[in-house]
Amino acid sequence: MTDTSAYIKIDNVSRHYGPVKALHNLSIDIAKHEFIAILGPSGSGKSTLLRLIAGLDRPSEGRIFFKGQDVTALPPHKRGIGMVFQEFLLFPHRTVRENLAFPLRMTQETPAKIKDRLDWAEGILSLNGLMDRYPNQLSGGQQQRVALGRGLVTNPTLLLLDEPLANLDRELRQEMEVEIRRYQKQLGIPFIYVTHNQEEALSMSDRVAVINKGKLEALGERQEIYDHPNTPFVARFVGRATRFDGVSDGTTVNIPEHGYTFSPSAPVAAGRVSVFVKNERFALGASGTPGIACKVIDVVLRGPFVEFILEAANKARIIAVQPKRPDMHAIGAEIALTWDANLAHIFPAEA
Amino acid sequence: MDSMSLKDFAAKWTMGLILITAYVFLYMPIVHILFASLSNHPNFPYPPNFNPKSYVNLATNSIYQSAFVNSLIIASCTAVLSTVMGFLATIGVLRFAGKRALFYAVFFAGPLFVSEILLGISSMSLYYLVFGLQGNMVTAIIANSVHCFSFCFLIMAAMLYKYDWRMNEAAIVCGATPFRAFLEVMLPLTWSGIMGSLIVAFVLALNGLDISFYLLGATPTMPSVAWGALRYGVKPELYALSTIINAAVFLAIIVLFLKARNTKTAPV
Repeated sequence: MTDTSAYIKIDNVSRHYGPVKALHNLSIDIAKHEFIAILGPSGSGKSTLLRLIAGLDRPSEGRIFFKGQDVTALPPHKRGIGMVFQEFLLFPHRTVRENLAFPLRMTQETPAKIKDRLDWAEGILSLNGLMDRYPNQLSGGQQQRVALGRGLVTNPTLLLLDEPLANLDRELRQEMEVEIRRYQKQLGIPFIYVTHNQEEALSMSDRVAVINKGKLEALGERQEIYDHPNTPFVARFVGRATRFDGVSDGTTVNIPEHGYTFSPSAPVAAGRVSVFVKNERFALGASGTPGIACKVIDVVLRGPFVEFILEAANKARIIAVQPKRPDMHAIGAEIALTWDANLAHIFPAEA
Repeated sequence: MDSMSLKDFAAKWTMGLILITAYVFLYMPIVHILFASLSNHPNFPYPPNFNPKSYVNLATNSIYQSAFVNSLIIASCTAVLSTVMGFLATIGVLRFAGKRALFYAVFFAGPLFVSEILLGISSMSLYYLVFGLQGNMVTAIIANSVHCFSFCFLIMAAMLYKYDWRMNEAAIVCGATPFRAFLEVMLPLTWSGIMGSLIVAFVLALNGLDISFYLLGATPTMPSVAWGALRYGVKPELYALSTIINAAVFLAIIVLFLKARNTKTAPV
């Protein structure tokens, strides 16, 4: 017997297109108040998963449950969900008001209820004065809010978001990240947020599911995923990290290409290993001290922090991120690159 | 400065003159019919005068009336039938044909290149041999639809090619049934293409002589009566009828134009 007590339960779901396995035996339980990000590169199957949850596509195997009820065979218009698309897909021939009222009309709400919900959406999404405009008269951010509103007016069981910020510029995106998270906390329904952008996933969600090649690579609290990746893929994909090929003798790890040896906190099985170090966890010591001898070839200012583009003796490029300080290394400086052995992630080398 | 403004002036008036010439070229025959229908001397109606006699005759001439009604029925039914078929074909090609879309599209457009006379003769003998059907209004509508289908398909394919099918999905996740999504979202967004297809099919079937001629025999339609009239001398009633049809078409165009202008704030 499967336990169907989770608010949303995705139970061993697969989706095959002929011989192509878009999704493979994937299970996720989602709690009612949870913001979950589904993170993966393009073609990983994350959008397929979203379409399966929406009902726009059917799984080849496995079941999907909403509040304990099996919805696997239920068509999308009966699932009571909201969805926000990357291109917003607002109805261009209808005003903002009509766009927002559309899902309410489809669920046969009374005019009084519709008006009530429209007022609610207008207030919470700051759409005052925009209700009688057409979508093409709105800015990207305003269209985004209307798309969110259309997904939320019916008090859906859950909201699905398919890369909704990909078409917005950077500043607006960061603003909307905070806003979307605030709505989720306010409404108390799960948001399932699909993205290939690890920054979005980390900034908004409670938990992150990392998907690669149709398989669930990792599922956990965002901190956990970031600090303790369980596979080389997660270590590489979440956060910005640098990979080194190393050789372990059981207690120490040597990186032959840079002639650097360090002692990890826990013993590592002997053999070839991959070492991942997050870019902000590098330490830049004075030249001559132990470490990988590097030269600073460029410095990129990113406001509160700085990216040092380093070049090692073998011409390999390494990026180290440091907080911005007045006395930082200048272009051309010689330094020694090291890292805290506890914070490096070490995996047996991939074949 | 003076020469500059003179040049602008000349350019403006030349353009205006070209525009007027173009309109005269397009509308002279139509205006001529109007004059002829109202004249005491239909063969040379200049200077124009006003004599409603031909309209009165028209109202009492049963041949012209039944020809008009028949043509209207054929044109309306053909427009609807070929547009519905063309719409389904377009959806099939754009949504489900995948890599073979062009292949299917070419064969849907193929009948465009078959001459109308051949289609008329062939349909006449085919319907008789295979189905035992004598030429009648139904076979005329079917044969006309074969001819109009390709035009309808091309017009709507050009329109629906740009349509984002995920609009339907967006409506469906909002709780709309697929049919409701089609009715409330897809249809209004592709209406101009469907309208264009209806109009073109209607006009083609209304004016098409050959197909109706071979399939209808003695049943009069507008083009067949007009063609017959040519042989025995054109009657002013024909001019009157043409004028009425032209007036109706202009009225329709003006209504469409005003409607399009009113919805300009919501371009689709």
